[in-house]
Amino acid sequence: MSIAITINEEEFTAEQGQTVMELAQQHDIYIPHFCWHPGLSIAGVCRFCMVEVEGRPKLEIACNLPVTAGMQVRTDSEPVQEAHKWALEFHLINHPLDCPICDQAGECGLQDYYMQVGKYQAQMTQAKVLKPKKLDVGVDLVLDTERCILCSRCVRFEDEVTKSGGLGIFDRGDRAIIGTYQNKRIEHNYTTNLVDICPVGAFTSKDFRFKKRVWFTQEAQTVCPGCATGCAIDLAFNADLKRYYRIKPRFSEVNAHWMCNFGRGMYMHLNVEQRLLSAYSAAEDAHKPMLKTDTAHIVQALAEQLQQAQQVALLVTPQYTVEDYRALLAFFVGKLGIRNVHQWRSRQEDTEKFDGVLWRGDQNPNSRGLLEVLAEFGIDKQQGNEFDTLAAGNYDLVIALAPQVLATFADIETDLQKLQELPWVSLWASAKQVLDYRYQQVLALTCFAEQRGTYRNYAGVERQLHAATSPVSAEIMSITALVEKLAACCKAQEDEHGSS
Amino acid sequence: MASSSTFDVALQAKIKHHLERFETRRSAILPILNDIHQQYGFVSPAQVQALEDEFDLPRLQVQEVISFYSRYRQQQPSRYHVQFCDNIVCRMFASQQLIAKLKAKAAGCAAGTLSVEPVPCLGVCDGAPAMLVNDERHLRVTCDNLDGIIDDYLQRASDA
Repeated sequence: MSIAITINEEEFTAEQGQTVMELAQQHDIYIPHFCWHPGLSIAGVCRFCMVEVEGRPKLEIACNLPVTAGMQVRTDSEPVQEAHKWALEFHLINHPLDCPICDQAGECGLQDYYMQVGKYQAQMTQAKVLKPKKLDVGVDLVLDTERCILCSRCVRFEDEVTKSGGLGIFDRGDRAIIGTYQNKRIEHNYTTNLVDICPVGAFTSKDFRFKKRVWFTQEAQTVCPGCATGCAIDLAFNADLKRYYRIKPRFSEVNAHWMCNFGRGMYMHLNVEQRLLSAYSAAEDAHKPMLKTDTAHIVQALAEQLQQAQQVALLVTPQYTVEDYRALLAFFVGKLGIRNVHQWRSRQEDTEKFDGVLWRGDQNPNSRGLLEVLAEFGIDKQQGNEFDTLAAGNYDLVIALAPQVLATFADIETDLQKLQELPWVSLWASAKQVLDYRYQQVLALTCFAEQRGTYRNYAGVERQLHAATSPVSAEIMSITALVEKLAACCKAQEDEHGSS
Repeated sequence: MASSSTFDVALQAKIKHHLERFETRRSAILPILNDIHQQYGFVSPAQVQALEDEFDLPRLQVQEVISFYSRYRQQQPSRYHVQFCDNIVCRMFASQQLIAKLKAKAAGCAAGTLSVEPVPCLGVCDGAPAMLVNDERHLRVTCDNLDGIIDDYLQRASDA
């Protein structure tokens, strides 16, 4: 049943059971708040989301105020503004106001609201209560209890989302602090969500703190490549420096407001020092390191080998986009008629594994997508690792697409080792680590942050990737672009042979 | 389980009773802590852990309650723990001098025998200055009778 109410004299239709806060959020009406979070239960402890309701003598908190028919709400009246000022004054009584050295600065609720609705002239003259600082309370967590405003979002996250109940509020009044039992560490895979939901600088991330002020970063809305769940993420980067700094979850049906710590590490391999920046080919002495070579030359060499080779195979990891697979298979399967396509997956993976929250044992973002595209080209397969089949096959050319995130393959080193023993391998990769091995050639690929495209997650839901920046080097390109180049090269060779 | 429990059989029965009394287990924490505190005079970390291990009460929730109420002691108190009223009426009757005197006396006793703690109002202003020695109340304490009251307790301790 829908209900008509007005907010700031504008009419809205609300659903029965909706709160004023939810309705306001839905229509982008600004009500400042700390303790309310769309993914958690209502606590009503920060007393900051005050609104005025016609006919009621006192202000009400919007987060716990169900809409009723004909309700007239004001979010901008003078009493409301006064209430915000004073609520903030109370929140700041024992807050250290150390914004210049606080890593939350720039994305801090206290700081933002102070600029918008603050009193500016504090009337508190008593000394601030001192509390424990810099506590190591778990994976990726640093806790500063002085900065905490006791909104209890973190406590509710531990109780409701991970159900691990690791955090509580100890002591009372102005001495109350957030903490774990006897400062025990919280050791699960979702701890950095506490940093995200902390509206102030009480929880900061060990990995991100002091690396970059947030106002020097931009965010790209893309998808986590860490597992088959495909959480929506905001990837923080600096376009000028071409550096990536962190990954935060973005709301989507798939992951709600959360993501795992493992997925947050997916930005690390994007940075230039981890990347393969140009193409390489084998040195004359095959035991010597590979030599940096012009991409055009390598593609040419590959085209020639394709002409000569009797037995050609593709080795494909499920970590690239549907579009890339289509381009790849359209050429190799559709045009050249090569039907030896093998999946390359982690040997020890347990694709059925699921931690009950988000993380999945299948650490490939596009397992479904790969199988679907293979089926489009008439190759029907089940999920599985076919590396050994390939290694045992008698191929005189193997084109291998290495995993984008080498770390997701438990025994990547053994695989890469075995691969270099095959007679002729063209390895397409994005990680610098592959240069420790010797192949006929290595081609440098873009990674998920540098391209658009689609993954299909474990349930077959389409997940759209969006590019953050241009590639870290001009010499690297997507699979689609490489296949185009290769196709052009092959055609040129054919024309040459045809004319001669 | 009963033989290896941190709590004796009677206390275990009380704890179980409280856990069944309330709609949520969390609600039982307060009466359970009261019973433990009454029996031992304090609640130790080992007992908190035992509540989690034996009765499935999260130690974090128990600790939240203990730390909220300052009347729960977390360490074993002295044999005689004096809570001396420090509110306005008692102060008018020289509570501060009496507390100082008691503190000096406590310092002269063997460790763990006597301790003093100023507390807010004991609610017997008509009998000011007032103090509690363990659970026994003493009213109209003066510099003259203070030594006698305390020495009686100390004598009992040495007799036992």
